[in-house]
Amino acid sequence: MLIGYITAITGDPTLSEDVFQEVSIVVLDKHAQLTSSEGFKPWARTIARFQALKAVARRRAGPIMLRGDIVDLLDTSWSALDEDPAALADQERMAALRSCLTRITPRARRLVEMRYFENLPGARIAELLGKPLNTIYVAISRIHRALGECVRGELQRQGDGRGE
Amino acid sequence: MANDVDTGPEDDLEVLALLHLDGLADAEQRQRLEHILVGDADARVAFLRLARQHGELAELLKSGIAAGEDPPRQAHSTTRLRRIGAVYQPRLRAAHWPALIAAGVAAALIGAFLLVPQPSAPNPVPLVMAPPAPVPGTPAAPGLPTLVGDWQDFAVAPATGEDVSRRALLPGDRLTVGLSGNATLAYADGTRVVVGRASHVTIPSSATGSDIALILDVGVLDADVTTQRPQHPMQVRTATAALEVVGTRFHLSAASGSSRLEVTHGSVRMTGAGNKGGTLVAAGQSADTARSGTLVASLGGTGADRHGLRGDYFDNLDFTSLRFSRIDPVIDFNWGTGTPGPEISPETFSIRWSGFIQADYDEDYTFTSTMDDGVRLYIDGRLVIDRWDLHKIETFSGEAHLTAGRRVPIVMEFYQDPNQSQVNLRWSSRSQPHEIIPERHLFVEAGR
Repeated sequence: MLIGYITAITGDPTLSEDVFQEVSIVVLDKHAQLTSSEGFKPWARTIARFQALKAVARRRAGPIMLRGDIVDLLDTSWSALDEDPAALADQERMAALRSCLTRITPRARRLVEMRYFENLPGARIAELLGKPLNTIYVAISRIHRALGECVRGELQRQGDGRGE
Repeated sequence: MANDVDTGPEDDLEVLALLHLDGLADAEQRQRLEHILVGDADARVAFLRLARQHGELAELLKSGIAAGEDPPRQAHSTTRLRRIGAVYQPRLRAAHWPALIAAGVAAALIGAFLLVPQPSAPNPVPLVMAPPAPVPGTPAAPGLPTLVGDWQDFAVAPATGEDVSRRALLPGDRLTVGLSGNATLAYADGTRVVVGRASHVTIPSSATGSDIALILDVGVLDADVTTQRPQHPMQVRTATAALEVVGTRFHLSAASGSSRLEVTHGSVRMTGAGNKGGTLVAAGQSADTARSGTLVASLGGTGADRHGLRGDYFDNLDFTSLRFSRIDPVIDFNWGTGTPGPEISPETFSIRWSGFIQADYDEDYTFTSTMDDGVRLYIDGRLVIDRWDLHKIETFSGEAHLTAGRRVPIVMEFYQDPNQSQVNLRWSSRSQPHEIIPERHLFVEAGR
């Protein structure tokens, strides 16, 4: 999920959308340069990293990005994620996430929708729900944790099923 | 703390990560996050998993395919129309609910959302194992369309007896639109394809349903494509051409021996049967394929006011191996060690730009080019810059007189030998600030 990687670097969701679009065009335009010895994901991630750093450099003001040495460490960690056999393809993980979203409570689902579909900032959600901001962020983080565990369980079951 | 979020150690990483991903982390929180990340490999993996899921959730919910539902409407529209170079985010997603209804639904749901787990609560958010109810008419997969809108005079084969308004079109289905008909194919991500009258469209038998793919056997279609994943572009084929689309609007027509593509926004990669690698067709440009499948043109729109210069791209140094042509809005390129297109070797290529230039002032103009490697510039038939040799990146100038409002021919030739490639063309005069010659001063045709 390239957009996640870009946002992890920039810490700026708005800028990340722009960078993702730029990366999409670069990838489409240069895909013929991808040699068979390279994996698509590392190759695309290299382009994404370059575009993200370039975009942050030309931005006049905005959220602060992570330190360069940490971006380097994250790049290595992301490669490990790609190699994790349990990670499977993006599409399989997305399908598992879709399935898991049907299993969370309506309240949690609503919170996810407000944050991710309506794209409301945490502060606005807190205001609408009359809750402290830290409560909203802790709740969203726990939903993420539950969804992550659910997705890993789904993928594990699929892997076991194929292995039988 | 600037944003008033205080977290305990249990939630620290995830909350800090979410604040960072939302662009809300202040300096202290970012430092805490960095401190965790720099010393803990597991934390870095957890952070990246969260970042990935963060992006996936936004994509799933925005495309309305979470839980197999129709996309909910945005009560607070945050989708932005913008152009980034040649990239175009086409539109607000067409399937969104009316904002008024969504606002009411949001208000009702907010009222029903009585309690968000408190930070001190030890348990994770509970999961309720309840499978989603299928929604009639919802695509079975994101790559398979349903028919929407005021469709009429059409048929789907093979006929199953099933109401096609209640199911997605499936691999192998062929949609035939009659002489007075039209049909709109809607995909879960908001992509819309309007199939015109007297047209046949087939969902490829090989379609997996995960990516959008269709065949225009004959007829016309107009597509408004939501941004696709770059490694999974929308695929459209005709008998003589193949298109790869990431996100754009375009018109495509197909006859028995030819195809024509017209791009309104964004860009589309078009490949003819005899044209390995294809050509990127940008907004305002069109391209045709001949009976043989060879891509015969990739030119701008029509009319004397078409801006830009025609660029002929050759895969050798002496302008004899033409690979493609296109309209370039300006001359300002830096390919580095790359190439202008996949069908051209980055080591050796040449380009000839030609067209007309029109100035605003009756003055002597200085033309300046920074290039690596060789350049020749002709203005109104006169050689103004002549650096047809190998050199490192350098800047050269020449002068020519231009008459206000009069178009005169311009030809610029460029060649690239190994290593870096870069070229641009600027101008200046007593009244004209130094700048890359803008698109509005360049024309493909001589005009009246």
